Amino acid sequence: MIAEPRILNIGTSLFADALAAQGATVLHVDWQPPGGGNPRLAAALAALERPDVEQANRQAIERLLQARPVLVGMGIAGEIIPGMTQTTVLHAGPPIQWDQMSGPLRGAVIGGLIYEGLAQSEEDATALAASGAIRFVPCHERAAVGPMAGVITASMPVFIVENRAAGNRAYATVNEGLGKVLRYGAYAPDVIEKLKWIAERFYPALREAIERSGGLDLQALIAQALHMGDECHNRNRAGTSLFIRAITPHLLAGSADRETVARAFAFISGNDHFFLNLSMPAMKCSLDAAHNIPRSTLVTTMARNGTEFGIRVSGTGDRWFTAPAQTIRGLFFPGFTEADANPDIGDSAITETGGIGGLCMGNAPAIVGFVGGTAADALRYTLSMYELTLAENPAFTLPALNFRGAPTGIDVRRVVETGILPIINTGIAHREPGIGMVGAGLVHPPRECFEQALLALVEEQRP
Amino acid sequence: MEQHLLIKPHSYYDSVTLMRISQQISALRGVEQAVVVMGTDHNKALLAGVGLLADEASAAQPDDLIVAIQAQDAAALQAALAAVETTLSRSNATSNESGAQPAPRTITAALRQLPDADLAIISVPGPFAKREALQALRSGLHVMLFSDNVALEDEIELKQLARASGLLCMGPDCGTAMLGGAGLCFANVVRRGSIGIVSASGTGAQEVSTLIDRYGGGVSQIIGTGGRDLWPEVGGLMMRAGIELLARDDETETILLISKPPHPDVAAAVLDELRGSGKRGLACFLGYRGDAPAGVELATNLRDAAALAVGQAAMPQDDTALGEVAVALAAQIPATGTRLRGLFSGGTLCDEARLELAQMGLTEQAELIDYGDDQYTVGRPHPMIDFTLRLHKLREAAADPSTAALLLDVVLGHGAHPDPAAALAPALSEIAQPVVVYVCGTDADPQHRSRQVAQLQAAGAVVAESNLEAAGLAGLILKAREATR
Repeated sequence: MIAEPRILNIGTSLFADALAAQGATVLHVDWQPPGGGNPRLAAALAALERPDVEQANRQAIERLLQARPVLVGMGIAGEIIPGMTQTTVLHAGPPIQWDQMSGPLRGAVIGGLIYEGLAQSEEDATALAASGAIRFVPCHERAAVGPMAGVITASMPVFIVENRAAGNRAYATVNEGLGKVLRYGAYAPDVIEKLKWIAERFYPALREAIERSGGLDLQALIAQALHMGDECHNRNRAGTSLFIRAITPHLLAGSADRETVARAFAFISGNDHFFLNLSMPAMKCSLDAAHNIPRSTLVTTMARNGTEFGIRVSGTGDRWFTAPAQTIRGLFFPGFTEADANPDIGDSAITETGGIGGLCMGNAPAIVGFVGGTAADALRYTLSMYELTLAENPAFTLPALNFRGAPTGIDVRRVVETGILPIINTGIAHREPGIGMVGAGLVHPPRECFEQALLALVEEQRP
Repeated sequence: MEQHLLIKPHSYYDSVTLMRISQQISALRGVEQAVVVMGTDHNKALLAGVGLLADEASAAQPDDLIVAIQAQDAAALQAALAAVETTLSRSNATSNESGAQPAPRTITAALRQLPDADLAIISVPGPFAKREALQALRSGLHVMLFSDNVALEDEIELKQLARASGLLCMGPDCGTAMLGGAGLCFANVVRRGSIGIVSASGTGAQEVSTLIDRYGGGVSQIIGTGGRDLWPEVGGLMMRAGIELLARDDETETILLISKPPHPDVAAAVLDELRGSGKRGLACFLGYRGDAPAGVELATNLRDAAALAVGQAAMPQDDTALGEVAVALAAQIPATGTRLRGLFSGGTLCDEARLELAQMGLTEQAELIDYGDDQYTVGRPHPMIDFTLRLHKLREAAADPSTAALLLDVVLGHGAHPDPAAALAPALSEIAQPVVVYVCGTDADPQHRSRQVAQLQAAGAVVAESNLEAAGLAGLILKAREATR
């Protein structure tokens, strides 16, 4: 018999109050109608509360948590990214064609075509992009990830990150820094020039250094950066510093001339976001290992192309579930307002998908003001993310929560059930091509993506 | 006149909270109408009914909060809107007193905060109840399912799962239980003792447990089953589980079953289980005409069930003393009065009264309504919590020249209205006809029974000692009047 019941109260708070008045142990659950009260979603949720789904999720989360992302080298996109041709342009987010692209993505495509020498001017590039001769493919479908516009063309150098547990790899370009940069849709001559310098001088030197190092354990670097006040999406200052520390001896011991090495250091240390292009592929190769597990409700991709937000789920394989991209709540650089902002863009939400970024906001008090709110708000954001996730990552811990593991592995079911949406820390691009970054802030994925995915998961369950 | 409509997307609040807020805001100076509801189709129809449904509200989703206010002037409107914000944020705050940790939204998240929880009380709207109950049972929690409008086949599925897992699934539509001394949902504060109750009826369990307390006994546990448990389709799954549990409970010496008459096969199975429990067995199936197996005592009404449980004999009605009271009260009946009107909040109390009046041959003259019935609770809180509807009906009945006398129940305890006598007194003091009231509760209840009784008596009501006696007295008043005609 129950000696002293310990009670969860789901529904009216009146009963919790009455129990508390009796001195009983009671925890009130702030219940919300699952699926926003939509009976079809509620039925789908009920259909997915099954042991085989739990089993599939256990397998998926195990693969995600066991991933060991290591920076093993660099290469040229066209030579190492599968299926890449001279006329392939990889881009951030779900699939999109030229006529649907937003300003910053168009700008980056123009810049990419000029960089490749496929076009000489903006007009040329625009005509070529619209001609049908260029194949636009999501980075995510080629084991790659790209911040903001995320454009990768054939001759760009990319980092190679290998998941030592599963053997799969992920790729990302070198982060170009702030200001006028390709990923924010800028394509002026100085943008192209910087990309050329990266390919011709920086890449050979850094590639050699990485190879000399025998591989840099990105999981360890991320774990340390998290303890140093980064969340590894919108704040990467600690991660970038740690990277410099790790790479310095190898860069100095390499064959690159002194001027190149000096400029390489200046380039990395002058760009607080350098590490983002390492934390992203680290999460990508970890999540790819957990992708394509039948019945699993784990979200393995969240990405935006500036027009649409799209997610992919382990159990539904390579299907995208998309909805219009949201506008971002945030702060703007002087001279810019919300009217200048492009809707949400970039693959960088891969960090949140992998359990860092906005999900670890409680770890990064320094960026909280930038994205609006107090340190307590940041902790609350992180605490609420545990409602959505399948696990806590023992490798990534949160000092502010007494070293509790980061909330990891977003479950489509929990998102629809609770109505809580993942929180994403993100930069804001100007809506016109060629201008660049105008601010940073917070955004949520559209809930429709998760609702569609949930219904599709139920469909897949049918024999 | 100022009108304002505010939609808060994705902000669910339960109906009790919202009803409380609506009432508070409506009572503010200068506020003509205030409706704070979730955007369900039913609520939109309610808004349309009071002329407050604008286009924005028509588009609202079931988890959008609609605040519609009509006030005399702009200042009153502003004050009302501010008050809504305050009360909403307060109701959020109560659910999040633990500082940074936000209140959990799901059972899964709650179990991380309270990993050794062993019971879930579920009072979410019916269509969502099954899923929550399934999750709770699969997490190894006993379930008290207060929600109604759960399909019979879902009830069977839940109860079979509970049985297979060695857990209780009390309900759906289960309003009263007491486990380990904690009263769940609607329950009275009664003395601990050796009598264990398994009840298909909420107010039946409340009536018997409070009478046991008054007769000097005590209660070990109260296990509710929900009203349909003894239907042949469900087969008494939880009543049998409850008997099994109490049979193993060291505190329990007597097991008392309460219900409406079960199907004969179910009755036989349940009574057989009771006989085999190894404890003293007692059953009160109101209106049941079947036999009991040897060794099981049957009580015909709730009062006798309580008396037998504490070892007293079933009491014959003391008609002489009551008769004198009845004769005196009959004099208050207006010349045109012929009918007895009963306004109940407890379904089983209403049933018991109906049976008693039928036995007195007064079925034709007595019109008893249970305002706790589903048809009266759509979109509003239970009449034990909210007296608005009953007060309205009470005044209506008193104004009807054919009304000879009125009969009311007042249920106290945790979860019930904090001061029912104060809510009823103004209406009672205006009524010319005799009003017989029964107060189900104890002095240990938050409302304090003796004080409630004194207030009701001061307002002119006659207060009976049990629900059965209240019905009997009302019947005798009617008969005394007929005798003098």
